[in-house]
Amino acid sequence: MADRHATMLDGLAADMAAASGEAVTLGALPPVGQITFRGEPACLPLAAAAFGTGVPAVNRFESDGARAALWLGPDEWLLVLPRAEVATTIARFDMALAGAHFAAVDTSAGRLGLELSGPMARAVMEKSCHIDLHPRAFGPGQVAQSTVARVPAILLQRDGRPTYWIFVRPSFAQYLARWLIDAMAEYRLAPIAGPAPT
Amino acid sequence: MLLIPCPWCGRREETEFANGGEAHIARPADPAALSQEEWAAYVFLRDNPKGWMRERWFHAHGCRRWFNLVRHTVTHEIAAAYPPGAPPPPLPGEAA
Repeated sequence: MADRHATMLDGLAADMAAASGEAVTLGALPPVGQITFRGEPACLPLAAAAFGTGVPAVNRFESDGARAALWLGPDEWLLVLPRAEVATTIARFDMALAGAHFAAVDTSAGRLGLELSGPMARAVMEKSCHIDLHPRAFGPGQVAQSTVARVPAILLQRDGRPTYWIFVRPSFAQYLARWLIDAMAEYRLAPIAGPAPT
Repeated sequence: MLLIPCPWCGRREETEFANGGEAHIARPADPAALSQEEWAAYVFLRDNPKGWMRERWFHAHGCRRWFNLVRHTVTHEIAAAYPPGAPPPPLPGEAA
């Protein structure tokens, strides 16, 4: 993308690629547009329709691929969408929800996203996060706000591989990326070269 | 470590929360009419029971909402969690 914003994570792209392997991969998400939406319960179905997804249930997110609505609280969502569509989406809320008590604020600069994926991704997450991520408790479509490596984060699971997206404040992003690189190291140990044991 | 049932997010670990002290402290209707002693009691004096207590908690790293919790201050047993504005439930062992 030609107009891709530079971020705090650009300098770590090579390190993240080098740390990634078959067991688990780490990468920065392209900077996405984010809207913090808060509104009275009556206007939430209208807001979801205006945004183009379903109403996210408690601790879950609704996505149509390009856009996602994350449940953050009983009257609060985080809307993730392409950056170019943020202004028009807020304008659409202003039209669709005229008269309702709501706020839709562009918070695109407020968080950066990391993607952690692969068969060992849950093992890496479990070193750093005290949410129960076992499939019986947490699966694709679920979102939670908690701490990851002591950093306040929004965590969601995209698919059953599993693939996690972690949104943190930009000022914590480098720290968290380095922390995850370190946590991933044990899953990509090279086979020991040398003569076979006799 | 406590597993605290946030009324909105479900059970989460204690490190996500902040304790807000005793619940259901009503602000005086007419603060100007209070004596110094009465105002000091409103601001500072709190129950410190050895047993069941209704407390305020804040889900700081989760949904960032306040709620109330009925917790035993000795055993850390949690009997109920309820949103602000809801009528306080009776304490365990107390007649409803």
